[in-house]
Formats: sequence, structure tokens, C-alpha cells
Amino acid sequence: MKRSLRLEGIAAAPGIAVAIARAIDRKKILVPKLDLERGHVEDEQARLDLAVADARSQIQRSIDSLAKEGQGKQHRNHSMILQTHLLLLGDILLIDATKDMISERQINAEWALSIVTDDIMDQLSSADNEYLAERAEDIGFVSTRVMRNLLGHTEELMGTELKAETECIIVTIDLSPAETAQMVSSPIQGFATEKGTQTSHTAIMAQALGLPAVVGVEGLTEKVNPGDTLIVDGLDGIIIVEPDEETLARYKERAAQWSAIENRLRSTKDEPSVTSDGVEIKLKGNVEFPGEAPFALDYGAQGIGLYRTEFLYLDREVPPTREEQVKTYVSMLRAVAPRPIYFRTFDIGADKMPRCLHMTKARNPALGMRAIRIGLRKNRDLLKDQIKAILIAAREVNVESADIMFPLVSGVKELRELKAMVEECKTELSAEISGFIPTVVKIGCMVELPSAVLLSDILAREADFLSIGTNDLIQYMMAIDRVNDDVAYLYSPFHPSALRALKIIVDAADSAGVPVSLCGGAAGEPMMTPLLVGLGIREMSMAPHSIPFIKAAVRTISYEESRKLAQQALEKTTEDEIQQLAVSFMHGKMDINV
Amino acid sequence: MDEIATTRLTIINDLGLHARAATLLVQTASRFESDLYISKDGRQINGKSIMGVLLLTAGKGTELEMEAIGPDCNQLIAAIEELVKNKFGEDK
Repeated sequence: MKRSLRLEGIAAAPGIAVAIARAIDRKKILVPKLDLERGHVEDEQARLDLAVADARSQIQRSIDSLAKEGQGKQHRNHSMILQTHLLLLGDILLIDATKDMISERQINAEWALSIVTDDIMDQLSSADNEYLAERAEDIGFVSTRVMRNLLGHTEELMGTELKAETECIIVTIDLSPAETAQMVSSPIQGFATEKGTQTSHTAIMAQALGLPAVVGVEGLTEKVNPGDTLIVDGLDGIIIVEPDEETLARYKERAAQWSAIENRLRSTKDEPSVTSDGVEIKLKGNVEFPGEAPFALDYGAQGIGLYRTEFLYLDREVPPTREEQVKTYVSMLRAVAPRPIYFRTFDIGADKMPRCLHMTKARNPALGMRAIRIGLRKNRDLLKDQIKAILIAAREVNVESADIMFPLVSGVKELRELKAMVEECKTELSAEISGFIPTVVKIGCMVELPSAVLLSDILAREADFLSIGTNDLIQYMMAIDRVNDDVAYLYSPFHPSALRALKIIVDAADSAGVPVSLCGGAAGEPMMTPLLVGLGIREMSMAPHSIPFIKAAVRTISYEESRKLAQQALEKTTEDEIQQLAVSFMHGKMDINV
Repeated sequence: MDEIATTRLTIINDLGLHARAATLLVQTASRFESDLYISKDGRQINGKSIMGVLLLTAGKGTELEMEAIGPDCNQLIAAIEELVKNKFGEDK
């Protein structure tokens, strides 16, 4: 019997995926509770033994593959944890106690296991010992594994990577950007999570990888069972569990429509991005890995307007060496040259906290040690190493200029410190490498803090270019935690304050005669395009898959009418009015309806 | 009649009987045929149960009474003494 359950969430990355659900780290498992009929106690105990044996071989496999991977200290520690799990699996207090519970209470193995586990958890948490409370996690892990085996769910669990052999859709509570990154070139078709917002880095990552994704789906992991057929509608933010034939057919058609539209738009890749009255709007791509660059160019990107370098630092035990960075940057530059790349120095902190820096997570990380603050105050060498690696790579590929942009600049004092640091790096490199002549460096200042907006005229005078990061800017202006679903409703690029901020920045850049580029979600939103063009933005960088859509939008509008539209919009008082204005302006202009 | 061997040991490694040490203790004890019972403050647990050892919450400086019962009880106690004395191979 098909359930055809419809769940609503937030559309995080466009596209439609239809595949089998694969659950990861499903924290809540519904435990079936059954009274046993007479004479079934031994069968039930045997079933438990089987589930435990399976769990043992699963853990042993992890230990073996870990041993194959390496022999470092980290591997040994990880392996020791798994050894502890193996012992827990054979423990009389867990397994024998569960068997006793089955015979005493005449109940099924799942129920008995959950009673015994809860009891142990109680003892551990009342032990008033932080260390033991943490061990509860291990016991929970082992118990869950056995429970899954009892229930016939044999998926890999959390802690083992996102490896998939067959086409599937990942269903989980939350995914880190690093975990999302692991889905590249895997048979994973898309994902759905309980947490997250459209602008979280996980969503950005999914957009970059072209994976349909829906986030913020309440109760998702309880309602989806592994093995269910799932539709991820990343266009409307809907998940359909076990669709009936009709729904399935409808969505398959929709998926086909979507890829037809995508193909048609992609065929515009060689057409110029100009308005109907001849104003050129440069469209570039945002990328994280060299491997993404060819995709971006294929979508028609005229360069990389935002190279998020922090992904080099995530999910590893030690920061990348300079040599490793040079190698990565060289392959990035080679893939994109002669088109330019804006290297954004690592934007670490907030929701991207790499283990390798051993930083404690602050209570309010978005307002704490983040990005250049780490490089200027906590770990100068880390930032200097990155700048040097960019300079060496730029020299090796022999590009016209090394374009380095600094995130989270709050004022001109920081910008000066950063410029001095770049000079320091050049001098040191010339001394270090004989015959090294640094490439021309262009320094970009990101404007993504309210203070930087108000100071954009001063910053524009001292920087070679400005780059507006709309996601962070809106977050910081509106005091919205990007990963908090409850306040996501406040986030809108149509907000009057966002428009005013953009106007201040563009005017400042124009007066100083420096280029200004816009990267962030607003760049990839076709309804924003006439407003941005009308405000005077001439260069935007976005998720590569958005470029064809934005190009279509640019080609249908004229600068003159966009300028008037922006003027009108600046006089409106709420985001709803502005959005309405933009939507009716674009109505009928683009024949794209999905 | 089974033989009995007993000893009184103080945990001297910094981390105490944390997961890694407890794992080693249980793994070692399990190599022997004899049973091992460990008592702390009058509370006795089975030394071959990782959960039991963890629930002892034996930090550095804790005094434990060990009782091994079985044919190889002396070897078992010697092995445990060795392990505790060597601080469970804890890196320093």
C-alpha cells in the first residue's frame, strides 16, 4: 500500500530527484513493542544473537578498512573506539541483560533492547560524570546498530562516510558542508534534511554540485523509512514519500521538463550577457573545487567571481601545506585562464569550523573569530601561507594578476593591515625563492558587514575592487542566524535595507572608479536581476547552474527600464512590495515556468 | 575447587579507567579462563564487562580490589597488575 506522504520544506537546490531513501544517523527509531506468544522466547533470543553477530562483523569491517587506510595516531584512536564498541556488543550488561528481559517479560527483542539501553543510559547520566555521559554516546551507537539489524535496516551508520553504491537519496537530520562535498561523483541523487536553510553552506554546496535538495523538513527522519521511494522536489521544496503511480509519473515528466529547460538555457552559453539596450553584465561562477570549474564554464561563466578556498581546510587533521595549496590553485587557474578568478581567502569560522585549527566553538561563532580575524589576530602564518600559495600559483600559471579578496572586512584599518600582509608575503617570497618576481596583485575588499557598507566610500578608495557578499550582509544587517530555521522568514534580498545598502556600495565604488561585483544568493535570483542591474551592478557571481537563468533575464530587460524600476523600488517600504514590483516587472518576460 | 587470587591496585594513569583503558582491561581479562571481579567502595562488577568497568567510574588515584576465580587466576591477576602499572600504555 503506497502512503504517498507529502512533506514541506525549504527548496535548497533546484532539480528533481527520484530514488530510494537512504537514512543516515536516524536518531529516533520507532521501536515496535510486541508481547511474545508462548514458546517464542528462544526464537527471539536467537534473533538478537543474529543481529549482534551482524553488528560485530559490521564493526570489524570498519576496523579492517581503517587499518588499510593508515596507521596514524588518529587511525589508532578511531580503531580503539571501535574496539570498545566490539566489547560493548559482547557485554553481559547489554546483551545478556536483553536476553533476560526477553524471557522475563515475554517481549520482543527490540522492546527488550530499548528497555535495557534506556536503563543503562539512566545510570550513566546519573553518574554525574561528564566522561561517562559521553560514553552514553558509544552505548547508544552500539545499541542503535543492533536495533537496526533487528529491524532489518542495514545501512551504514553515522561515522562511516557517505558512501553509496546505488542511486539513492540521503535523508538525515543535518549535513555539514564537508559531508555534502563528499557526494561529488557518487550515485547520490539528492538529499533532504530536517535542519538547514536556503542560504546555509550545505545548500550552497548542493547548488554547486547540482544536487536537488530540500532542507528544513520537520519530522523527516521519523516519517521516511530507509528503502522508501522518495521524490525530492528541489524547485518547490517538497518531499514525497512512497508516491503513488500517478504522482510518480507526474514528477518524472516534471524532471524531464526541468532538464529540457536546463539544456535549452545552457545552449545560450556562448550568447553575450547584455541587456536589450546594450549594457554588458558580466556573469561569473562561485566554486569550491577545481573540479567544478569546467562545469561553471560550461554554464557560460566568464570567470570565477568567488573561489571559496576554505574547503581546503575542512574535514582534516592538519591545515593544508603551502605546496598542497599551490597545486590546487594552479589547477584552478589553469582550468579557468585566461578568465579571472577572485580568490577569497579562507572564510573559516561560523558554520565552517575545521578540526585542524583546534578552535573551540564559540557560543556565537558568526560574531566571533572568523575569516580574516583568524588570519590577523590568531594565526597570521595560516593566512600568510595562503597568500603566498596564491602568489606562487599565479606566477606559475603566469596570469595577468592575482586577484585576492578578503572576507569580513569591518573597516579600513583591517584592509590596510591585510594589504601590508600581502606586501610582507611578496618580500618574503622574493627572499625565499631566487628570481621570484611577484605577479601584480589586485586586492578586493568584501563588503558584507553593515560597518563596511557605511564605509564603502573609504574602502573603495583603498581597494582595487569591491565584492558584495549578499548572504552575510543580509544576515548581519538583519541579525539572522543563517542556520536557524525559525528566523529564516526574515531573510529576503528584496528587503528595503538590502537595496539601500547596495545603492550605497555601488555609488561609492563608482565615485572611486573601482569595479564592484556581487556574489551571493541575490545574484542567482532572476527576480532580483532587474533591480541589481538598475542599481548599477555590472558584475555578478553565482552558483554556476544559475548563470543561464540570469543570462536569460539580463537579455530580456533594458538598463533604462531597470534603472527606473530600481528607483521605484527604493521608494517602497517593505520587502513584499519590492518583491511584488520586481515580479510584475519580470512577468511575461521570461518564458520559463517550472 | 576453583582457586582464588586477589590484589589491591591503585589506578595511576592520568585518564583513569576511561574507554580505552577499560577496553584494554576487559580485553586482557577475557584472554583468561578465570572470572574477574572488581570492587570499588563495596560495589562489585564483572571485570569482563566493559559496561561494568565503565560504570565503576574509576579515575586516577582510585583504589580497586581485584578477585580472580579459576584455574589461571594468578596469571590473570599478574596481567592486570602489569597493565595498571604500565598506565595502560597511555602516551605521555
